[in-house]
Amino acid sequence: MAANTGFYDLYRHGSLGLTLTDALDELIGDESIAPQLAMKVLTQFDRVVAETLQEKVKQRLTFKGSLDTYRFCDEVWTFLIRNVTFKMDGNQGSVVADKVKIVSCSAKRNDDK
Amino acid sequence: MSNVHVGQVYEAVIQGVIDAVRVDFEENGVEDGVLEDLKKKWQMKLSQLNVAQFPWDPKPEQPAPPAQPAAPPAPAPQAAPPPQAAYTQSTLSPQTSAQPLSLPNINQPHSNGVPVKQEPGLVRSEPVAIKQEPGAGSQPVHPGYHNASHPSLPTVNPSIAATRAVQALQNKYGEGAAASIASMSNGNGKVGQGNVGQAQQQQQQVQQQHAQHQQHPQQQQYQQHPQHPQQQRPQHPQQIQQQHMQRPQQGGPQQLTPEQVYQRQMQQQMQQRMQLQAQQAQQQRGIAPNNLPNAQTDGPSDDCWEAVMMRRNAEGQAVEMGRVEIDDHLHAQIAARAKQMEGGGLMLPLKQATKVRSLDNRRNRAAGGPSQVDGGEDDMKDEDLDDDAINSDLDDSDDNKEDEDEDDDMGHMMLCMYDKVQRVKNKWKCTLKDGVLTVNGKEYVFHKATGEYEW
Repeated sequence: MAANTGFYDLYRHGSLGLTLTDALDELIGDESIAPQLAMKVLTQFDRVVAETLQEKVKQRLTFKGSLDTYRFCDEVWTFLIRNVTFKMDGNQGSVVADKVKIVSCSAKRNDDK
Repeated sequence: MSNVHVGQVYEAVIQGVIDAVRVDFEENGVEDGVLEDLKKKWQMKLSQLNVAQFPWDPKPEQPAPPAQPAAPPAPAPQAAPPPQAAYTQSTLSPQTSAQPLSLPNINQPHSNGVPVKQEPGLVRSEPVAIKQEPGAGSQPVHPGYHNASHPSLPTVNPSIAATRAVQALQNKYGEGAAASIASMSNGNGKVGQGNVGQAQQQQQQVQQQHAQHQQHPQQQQYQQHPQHPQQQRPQHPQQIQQQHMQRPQQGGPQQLTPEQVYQRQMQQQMQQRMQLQAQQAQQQRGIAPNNLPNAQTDGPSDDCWEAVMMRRNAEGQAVEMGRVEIDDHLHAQIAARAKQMEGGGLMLPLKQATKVRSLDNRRNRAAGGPSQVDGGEDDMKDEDLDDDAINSDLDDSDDNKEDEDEDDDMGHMMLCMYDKVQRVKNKWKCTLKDGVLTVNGKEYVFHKATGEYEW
């Protein structure tokens, strides 16, 4: 899971990463850029996302629910939680979801590298 | 719970990535415009996801996603099989519907059931074919011919002409012509009383032009008529005889020279033939001769008429070429029909034959020349696959269930780092950080998150 640069490519599976991948695919399809260049972009993306989330985001979140499935493999926790209630600090109301999947990589390993 | 920060954070990420890869782009010799393109595409796609309000979006509302590319234009209508009817049906089927002879301007009780398909062709041909002599439709018209031999024709009352045509039909074919007459009168009813005769003439010409392309070689002779009226006389004693028979009945109000009478009657005879044959074709298409509305047939017959007319219009000067094309087309269709009827040239037991035909119809409509063995083999393969699938069914069901879970969760997902994950009995507590959460179509970012849940 860990990329060569020490950053996870975890966030590529979020909307930000998926849209970037899509856009890169289009450019490759147009032969505007080479696939290798696209890979470099994605690597940069891994780093920038991690750094930005660390530096720019201050919000805190709490959530409760019932754990359906848990899995710990290759230092990656995967939870499947049902009936989740999310709350941001600043009590602006809550968000409820039936099921949420949490994919979580070790923060320590990221820090170490 | 607001996600106002998401836009700023994502904007920062995008800008950071773009800045970071600019060097890479330059090193790879990629223009700066491509990088801008990448940024725009990225932002546009994010906006389409509609997961948050982004700084690059117009403030009040998310921009509507760009319009979907228009659907590919519908394929041009193909010429439908009906024209070949003229070939396949060699004799007139008697019109059993005893329909009262209706004159064009009098009652038209059945005008509701008018075969509407003739209308477009009728309208379309208007600028082209008004003055053309029947039979000359597919050949360049002799310019001098009309003026020379029809000086008095325009003075004839069109409705009288129509009446006479009906009369002639009745005389010649009796009961069998009832439907033709009805269709003539229907044509009048559609256009209106004012230009009845003209419309009818156009209609007939349309039919003639249409029919010329598809009728027996003997029709070729008729095409020569207008250009050489004098020479044709000796070659068609039968028609002359008919002309003489009809003359006393037709004693019209106008005085016409024998030449004009002859030509007008020739014209009428041809019209009758054309109409009957066109009507024959209609019958083959399933249009009830008694003008009962027949819902299903409208489409194909439309195609038929339009196709033929369009061809002719498009041809312009190259008429000969067009006829050859149409002939080829008809020939191919007839050959296909014949092949279908004989089962693709294979003598088969009835069971197999029907099975094969249904297969062919289903799958090989476009791919002409289907071989029946293919169908059978394919089916066999499917069965084999099914046999194989039995073993994996057990596994599959589990896999599917799990996949289903995971797929469902794609909508609600949290990507993050974990600091601590603790468990006491069935109570879990975890500390997460730097996460992106997607719930209910919205995204949230957090610096720290704590979760408590029971298993």
